[in-house]
Amino acid sequence: MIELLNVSKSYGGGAKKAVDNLSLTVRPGEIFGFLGPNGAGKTTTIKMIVGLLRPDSGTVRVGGYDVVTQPLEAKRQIAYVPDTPEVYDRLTGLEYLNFIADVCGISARERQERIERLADIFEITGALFDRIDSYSHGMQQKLVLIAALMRNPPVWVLDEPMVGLDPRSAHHLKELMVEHTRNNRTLFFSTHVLEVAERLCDRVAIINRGRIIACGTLDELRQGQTGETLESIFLELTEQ
Amino acid sequence: MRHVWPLLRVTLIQTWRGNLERFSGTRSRTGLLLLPLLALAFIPLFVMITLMYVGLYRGLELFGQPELMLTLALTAGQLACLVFGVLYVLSVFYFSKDLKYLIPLPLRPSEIVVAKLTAVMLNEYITMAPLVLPALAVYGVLADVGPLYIPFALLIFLMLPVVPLVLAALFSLVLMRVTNLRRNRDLLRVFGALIGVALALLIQFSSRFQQNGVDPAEIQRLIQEQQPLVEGIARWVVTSVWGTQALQAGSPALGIPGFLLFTAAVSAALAALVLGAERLFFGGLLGGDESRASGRQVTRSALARQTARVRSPLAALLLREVHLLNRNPTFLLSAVVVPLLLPIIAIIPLAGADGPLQGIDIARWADRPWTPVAVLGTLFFLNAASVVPSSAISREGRWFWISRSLPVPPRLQIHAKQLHSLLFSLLNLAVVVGAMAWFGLATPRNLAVALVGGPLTGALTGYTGLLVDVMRPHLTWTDPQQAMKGNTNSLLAMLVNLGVTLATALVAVLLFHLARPAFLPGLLVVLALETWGLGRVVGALADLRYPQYEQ
Repeated sequence: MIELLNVSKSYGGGAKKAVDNLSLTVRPGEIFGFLGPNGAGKTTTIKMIVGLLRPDSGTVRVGGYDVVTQPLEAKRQIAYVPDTPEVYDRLTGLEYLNFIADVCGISARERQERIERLADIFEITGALFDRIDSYSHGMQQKLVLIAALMRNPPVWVLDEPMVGLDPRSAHHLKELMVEHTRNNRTLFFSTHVLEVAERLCDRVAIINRGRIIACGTLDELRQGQTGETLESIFLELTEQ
Repeated sequence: MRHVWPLLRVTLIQTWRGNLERFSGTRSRTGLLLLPLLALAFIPLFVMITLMYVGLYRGLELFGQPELMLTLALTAGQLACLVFGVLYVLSVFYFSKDLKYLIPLPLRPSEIVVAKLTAVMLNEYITMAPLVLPALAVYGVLADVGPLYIPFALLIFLMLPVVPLVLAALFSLVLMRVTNLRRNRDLLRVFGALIGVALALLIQFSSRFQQNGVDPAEIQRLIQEQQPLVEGIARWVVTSVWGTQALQAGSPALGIPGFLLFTAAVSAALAALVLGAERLFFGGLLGGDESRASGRQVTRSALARQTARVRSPLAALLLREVHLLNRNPTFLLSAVVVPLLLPIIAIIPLAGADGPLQGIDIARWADRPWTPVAVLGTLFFLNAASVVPSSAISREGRWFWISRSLPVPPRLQIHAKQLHSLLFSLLNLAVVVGAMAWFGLATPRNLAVALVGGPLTGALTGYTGLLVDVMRPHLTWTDPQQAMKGNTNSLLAMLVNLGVTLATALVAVLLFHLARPAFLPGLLVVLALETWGLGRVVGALADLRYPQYEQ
């Protein structure tokens, strides 16, 4: 579902390599956790997957579509939540959701049903007629999540989706993530909360200084390491 | 005040680094070398204004008052700073995104205000330069000036924006403190428009004085009639008088007191700003960055109603543009300033009871062959002055990731932006049609040309603006004014429009001589073809450029 083949990305005219020859495949029905220290290249990788950054070299495919040469087809496969919930602050929450639904061709019945359900889950229904600049950070995060998830595409790409969410909403989001992959769909997400990754993910990859330093199931990662938990493995690997 | 410099440095880096990178297309410092090349592009404008000042100087010289040209230029420069400065200062002081980082720091309010105002001032030099620099150059060359002229002229130019910007800043500080407008931002529209209109009236009086060429009799009449007015303005903008005295030809001894008075006025203004900021700035900021929730009840049926309407992607994109612009007073005012103020600044005074056009039977030109061309030219000029298309992508700023992740082609988004800017060109059309009716030029032929040519020129200039913004969007702004006024894309778009005008004029002349019966329809077809061609180019460029922007 998501394939990255020898992908590299540099900033500052090649002076800083953010992602270095990264290859990765995320399969349908899989929850894939993407971990790494700050500045390791997680967000750069995610932005390349969703087409917000162009790789300097290598190929990124989503649902079989090349993100660079078939951008629209690829975007139709993806629901994306960025690491900071920046949305048009002069619109009301519902205006924003309607805008996304219109542009993505979601029918009236589907959008009503999905908005109602997701807004109830994230407990934001009462604020949908308010302008987004009156929302707290957490409410904006919920709105961005609803806008992404209501499209219901086969691939979810979430960049630190739990940040700013209250415990109840974070719990509901985790349930939605599991529900999504039950239908043979794909979830790729980054997080710093290792307990969440440990509990949810079928496989995880750890990136450090632009390179994948470990990738596999938790059992596979444990091999050759002294630690048992994902946290201890992470600390061990990223110290090297 | 020891924190002003580091604060200013950060503000300038934040504001100008992005601009320079956009201009040069590179993050390398060698890109700076391209800036002089860009400046060359504005030489024709400077030459035109210089020639106007030469004419004015010669005319005033006949009456022994050539220095009046300096008074007018300094006044025009300061008024431009004041008019455009009020909204800019309001925006930078109270609506910029960096406030949430600055306020918690151990900084004095005056340090923040002085640093921010200095950053605004650097921008205002660009606004003032075409009005003031040619006048200083013309006077320096033509008058018998002393050795102190060049240093005084340079220093006066550098200090010139201080007083009007401090006035704008003090006005903003008081306004925000008294009304706490941040909670009711929409009120800005009313206040901003009122201020703009009032000041525009002042400007038109002073500009009327400059408009009337070099005819000695006309100048004598104007001097006699308008002298009290000029003196009135000069009394109000007293720094213009002191600046003139400092620069006036003659003994340096006469200039030094004027210069000292000018400098003292600038110092006093800065002191007033520091005092005002200490007392008022933080008080006006209270209220937070967020607006209040509406408190509307969301029922199932209301939600169902609101989600029932499905729009096409194009209609949804257009509606987004409308919402984002209309709900931001800074954007909206910048967008409507031309059609709103034009009748006040130009048409009404020109055609008023004692205006220069009084007594001239304009209606007799209604059937002249070039009248519809003049109508088209006016429409083109007004539409070209709009900042709506040349900031259409820039206005998205940090939200641009949304557009880039939408599963719709960038060209469709560009066409939605084009439709949106067309709505504003309809305002210009209404103004021009109103003026045609006023002057008795609204014959069926002229009206037909205006009604067809208005949208056409709107679409053409819309695409030229979009062309520039697609190539160099300013997405990293921290306050909305940077996306509009601080965005040099509007100047570049005017240059592109100049090229389009020249090409169209050439074709028009050829058509007139080669196929006179089909001249007007032919001209409209040419405009339509230009629009279609440019629209295709801009659409293709958008498809190419959107994936290349990296935020």
